[in-house]
Amino acid sequence: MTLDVDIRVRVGGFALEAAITAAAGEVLAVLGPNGSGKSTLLGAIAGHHDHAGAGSAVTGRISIDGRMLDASVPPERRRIGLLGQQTMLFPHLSAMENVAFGPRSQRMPRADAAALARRHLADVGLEDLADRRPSQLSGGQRQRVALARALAAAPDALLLDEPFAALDVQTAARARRLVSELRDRVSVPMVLVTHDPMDAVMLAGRTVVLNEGRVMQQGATGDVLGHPNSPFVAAIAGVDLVAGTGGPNGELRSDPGTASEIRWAGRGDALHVGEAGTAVFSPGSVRIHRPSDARLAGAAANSWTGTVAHLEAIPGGVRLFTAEHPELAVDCSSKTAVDAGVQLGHALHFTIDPDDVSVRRSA
Amino acid sequence: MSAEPTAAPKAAAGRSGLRRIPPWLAVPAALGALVLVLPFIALLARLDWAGVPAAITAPAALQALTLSLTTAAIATVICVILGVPLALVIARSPQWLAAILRTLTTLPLVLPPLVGGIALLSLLGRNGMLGGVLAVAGIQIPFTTAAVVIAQAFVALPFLVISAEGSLRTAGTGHELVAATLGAGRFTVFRRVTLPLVAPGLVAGTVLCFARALGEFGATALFAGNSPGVTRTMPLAIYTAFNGAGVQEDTAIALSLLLIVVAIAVLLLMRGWRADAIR
Repeated sequence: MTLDVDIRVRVGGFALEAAITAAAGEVLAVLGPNGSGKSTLLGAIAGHHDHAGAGSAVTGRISIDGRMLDASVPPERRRIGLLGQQTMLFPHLSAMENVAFGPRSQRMPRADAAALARRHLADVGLEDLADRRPSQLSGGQRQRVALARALAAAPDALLLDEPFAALDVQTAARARRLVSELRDRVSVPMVLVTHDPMDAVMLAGRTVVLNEGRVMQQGATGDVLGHPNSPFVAAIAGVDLVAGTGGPNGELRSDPGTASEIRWAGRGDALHVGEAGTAVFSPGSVRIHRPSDARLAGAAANSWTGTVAHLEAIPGGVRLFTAEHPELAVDCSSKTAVDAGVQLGHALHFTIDPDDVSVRRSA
Repeated sequence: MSAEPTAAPKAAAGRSGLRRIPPWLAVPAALGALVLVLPFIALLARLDWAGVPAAITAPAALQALTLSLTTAAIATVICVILGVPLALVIARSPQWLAAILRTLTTLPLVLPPLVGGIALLSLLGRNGMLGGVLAVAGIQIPFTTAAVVIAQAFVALPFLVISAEGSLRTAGTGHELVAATLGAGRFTVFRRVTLPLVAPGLVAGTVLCFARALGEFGATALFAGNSPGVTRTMPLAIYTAFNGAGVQEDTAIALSLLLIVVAIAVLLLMRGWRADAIR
């Protein structure tokens, strides 16, 4: 089964244009900030035109294995499951009755639907809590019931809308593991909408990045997050991206010929002289040295200096930006920050191992 | 923010929340309570307790009570059948349309019931807009038990629609959309998701609707008249007894007591149901 989407949606002044594909047993992550069009995309696929926005117009093509889902097909005949941030369990029904709701709505006899629901609850490890009401379950348990309910309706595709956003860190980790197990066991295409690159890394073979209704980049998750092609995607992936041109030895030179020139050596493509390319690295891979450090004499590759202009607290340490390279974030532990004298106005040396730098030629 | 200031408001939200109210507000609050309760106390004080059993078991009183309970029950059923769909339409309409519909629905609530009675006569009276047509067909509505039910439904319907619409709006459409993705058609969604979700609000609205129908006087008096056993409901029986000069005043007070007891019973019934409700 393959979900094929190539649509344009207009909601008031907002326009979304996206083409995505998800194969059976595959999770496609749709990454993007609020307002990028993620929910509009899901609403259009699920057939919730109200959800996508009042007066929205969807044109284009949505199909599952050639079964066309045009605007005239209502949600109840699309066979597309939806699991949102809010579980939306029916509060007046037990866990079992919630899961049996889909099969019952599709006219399965009561006893068969109950048996099927119990099997699906067992699949998510909740067979013992089948008779509880949603209000008697924890947040993580509710999420698992909602997942079982979505799957019990035998959907041809499953849409996951920020399903982990409302859960605490540990519960979210367990929920991610459950989704990854289901991905391998249940053979339906899944589209996972999220603002957290972590979800894409843990679950999705392929990732699409949306911004302001446009696809910024799509491809294998490792490629998209490991080597973004734009500052926007780099910011989402949480990596540093520098653009430049090829120099001698296949290096990339950023800001060539200026005082802030840096030569980047790394893995990946060997650039020809003058060829446009980008270098990508994690802010945490950068090492920080006091300027007096003798090893840094001379303009070696992967080495630069800068004056600390901005500091941010990050878990376990500090993120700094320099006046000379304001676009490059550098992360370090609190101890390193103290040892290297990371303070506003202080000049520092930075180096990075070529193994930690990905160099690509621009397409 | 330290833990200390966050702990204080939580405690205040409990029983000691009373202490957070400006002290002088207690005066109007107490006066307000008195305005509501004092008349009933005065009523009980004037009651001739020895005469109560005879007054409320008199055939005329029982006849009025039976008529009241029957007509109010029928009017309530009509209100539920018509009011819930109307509430759903209002709750799911675009804002401008919802505002218009809500205003029209609330109109009988803010108008004196007497005006409602005149309006009903204009529609269904012998020379009324529809009344003339009905008269040709041999159907006469004013001054029948049917007129009592119509008058009660007219004044009570807004109570049901407004509380049902509030519940529907609060419940939102999230559950309905999910139910649709599970393959449930629109009527299944309405029956198995929408209605159960708003059940508590619906029951409250139904009880209010029944209580309003039970107490209806003005529209009934004009549109249905005051004929014993046919249109003389409890409020009309009380009015008749009270107007029948001093001798009957005690009967009026005793009948009032009966109506008060019925109203309190209905309200308690609702509270009991709400306590059991699954939230």
